[in-house]
Amino acid sequence: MINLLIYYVTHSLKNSIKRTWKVWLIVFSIFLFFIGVGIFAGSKAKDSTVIGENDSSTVTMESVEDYMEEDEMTEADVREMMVCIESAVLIILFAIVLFGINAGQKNGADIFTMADVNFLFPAPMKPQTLLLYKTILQMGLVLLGSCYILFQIPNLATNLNLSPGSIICLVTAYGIILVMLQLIRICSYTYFATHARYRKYVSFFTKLPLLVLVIVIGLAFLAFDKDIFRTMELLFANTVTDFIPFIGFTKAMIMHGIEGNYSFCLLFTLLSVVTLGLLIWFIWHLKADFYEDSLVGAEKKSELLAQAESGKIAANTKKKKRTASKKGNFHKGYGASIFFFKSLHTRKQYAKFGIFSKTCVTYLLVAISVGFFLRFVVDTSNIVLFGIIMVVFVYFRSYGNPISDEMALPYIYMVPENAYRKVAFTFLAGTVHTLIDLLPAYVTYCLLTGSSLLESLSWCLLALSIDFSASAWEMTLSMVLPRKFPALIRSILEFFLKFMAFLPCILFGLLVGLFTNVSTAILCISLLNVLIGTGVGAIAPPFFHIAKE
Amino acid sequence: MCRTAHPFSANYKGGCADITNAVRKNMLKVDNLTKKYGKTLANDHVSFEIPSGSIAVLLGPNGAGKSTAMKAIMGFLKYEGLITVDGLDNKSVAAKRILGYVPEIPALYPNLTVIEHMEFIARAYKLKNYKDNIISLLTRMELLDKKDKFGDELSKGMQQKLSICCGLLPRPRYILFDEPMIGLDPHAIKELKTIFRELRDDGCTMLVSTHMIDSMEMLWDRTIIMKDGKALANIGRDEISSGSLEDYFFALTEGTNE
Repeated sequence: MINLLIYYVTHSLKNSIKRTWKVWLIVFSIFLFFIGVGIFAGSKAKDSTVIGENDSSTVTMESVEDYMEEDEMTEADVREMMVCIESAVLIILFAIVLFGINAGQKNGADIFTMADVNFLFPAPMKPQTLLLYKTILQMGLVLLGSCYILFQIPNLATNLNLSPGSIICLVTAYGIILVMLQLIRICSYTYFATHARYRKYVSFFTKLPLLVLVIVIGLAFLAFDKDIFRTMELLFANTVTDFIPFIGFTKAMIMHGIEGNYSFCLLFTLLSVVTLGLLIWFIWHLKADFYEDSLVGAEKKSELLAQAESGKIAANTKKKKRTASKKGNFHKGYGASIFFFKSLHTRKQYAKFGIFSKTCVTYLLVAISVGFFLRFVVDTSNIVLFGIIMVVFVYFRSYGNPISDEMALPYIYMVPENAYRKVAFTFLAGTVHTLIDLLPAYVTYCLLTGSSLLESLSWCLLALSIDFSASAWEMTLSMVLPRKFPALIRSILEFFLKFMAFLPCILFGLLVGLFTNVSTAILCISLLNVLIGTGVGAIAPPFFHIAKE
Repeated sequence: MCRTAHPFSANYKGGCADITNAVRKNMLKVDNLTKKYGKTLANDHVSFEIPSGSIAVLLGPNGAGKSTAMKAIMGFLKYEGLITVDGLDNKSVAAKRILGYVPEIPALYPNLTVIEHMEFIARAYKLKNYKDNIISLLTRMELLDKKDKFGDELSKGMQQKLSICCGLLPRPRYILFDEPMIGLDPHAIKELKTIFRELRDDGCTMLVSTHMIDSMEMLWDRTIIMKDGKALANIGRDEISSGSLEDYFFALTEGTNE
């Protein structure tokens, strides 16, 4: 396997570089380099100003005590800070484990390609060997992509005042967490692909512990007279939790590393590594028969990609689960608008009552949990936190060309209509879907917390406008950029351009908010988002019918 | 009478018929294969045996269950029944060493070249002394001049040819071909038929799934006719007294068997 892995990695990497190393990539890289230099120079100039003002404070911190002395913090303040950090680390590690187990319900298309099915499934190797081979490949890519973390080391040393030993502990912990996540995913996938009848329970048994945790935190919080630090100390930040396999060991490793207790850090590192070893042993001896599951997933993905290939645009490879519509055919729409009404009609197939899609239900759950927490625990009806959470959700969900499903099929090209109308109606259908997904959540939040409905709707409008603008960027870039553009560069460009487009909106909103109020600022940001989105979206139609090479 | 090394030894270069000393159950045996996809019965108690050194054709209309049977034999599916290759469980690593597969739909790694695909397979199967065989196969399939082209730069026909080369490289004793001639040009089809004959003469066993009867008319030794998940007939060439395979097939699947 190692021989095979090394061969595939070296040749794929070499060929990828050979294929993408073109003039525009060099130009783009130089552009990014100069941006980086500019940011670095700017931060250096700021630092030298600060140093000039506070020369006596530029000493290297070796311990938490130095940090306390520097910032005039009391022992109680430091203790609270460490409790918060320890609790957050344990909760995050717990969530990581559940995330890894949840991978058990994924199909093999996320792991294996059709080429793997054709070449490696018939090959004389154990299924676990094949799975380990693929996940080591994926893990390698993740580790490679995480190399940016090395650039954070000066940041950790300068701004967080961590010692070299602590930094090494944190970087090691990061590596161990990545490896453990992959191993948990392999273990979960192998088991549930082989015993497919239990797969339907995975989602429930990964969400249930989270729910239990939230309830326990809530009850403990109320029992301790709403003292959050005592609650966290009892539940998370104590030595008993250090001995929970993996999550406790890793948490203890990180905390002892930060505090400078390197011998304990080393002990818990060894315990984490032993846990990794035991997991590998368990995976190796697990009965593995996931080929059928992977084959089906890979075939479907391959079909969708082949469709997209013929449509020249990358398609969304996730298909919604549909139920047969009992309402019969739709009879609305004429010309280009038929795509708008068709999209709304098909919503009835996957959304309960035509409203409650998976996305809608997710937003509702967020609204209920945040609303409950703020209303009954923190005792406030402020909508800002919920509004920001939803905006972040919506922003990061707007990934990929929103009209790719239509563009993967020939009909949209065949309809004898103006490209602007076809793109506009198809795109607007997506916006309406987003509105239907968002509205119930905001109304529910409003009812739960008693906050102002108008304010709630203005935040809803903000989220919608962000989705509109971000989706317009995704759509336009998908059409404008050549099809063979490397996915990584495409993703970087999309992220960069979308983010840069939002900055002026946020700045404008802040400016308006200074002179008026929050609601007016939100409305202004929304309006600017819509205008930018419309402008960017209007670039796409001329590229609609052009085949990209 | 030709002599050769034991099929599982490193010197094995593809057996000839005289291997009965080494292996007693030298056949591909499918026993009561049943496979359901939800409520659909794709294979319904399908049984057949293919002796070594022969070409068997799995014939049937679309949806007959041919591809399902092929994938089950290759160990890709969970099924009921028993499938053995030379007495070995088809899902065992030992069975996979002597089983080869050429899929219906070729799929290649986009960032590996033609020759790198062959090297990749050689490493996956831990082959030795394979370089000459790579050149020979690529030459026969007219891919040698395209050896530095990437997987996604090849046409469908070339991808199919490369799939065939990769399937043949490990010199398996049993090879399953799932609709191998789709997308091939006339030269490649002619070459593939020649390869079938050569492999049979070397003692190799082939199972070819197809719905193009005339493409295999002159090659088959045994035909398994499937319809609606069932194996309707399992006949040798000498059992068809009159008429062609095509006549027999249509008589069986669309009328009464004469």
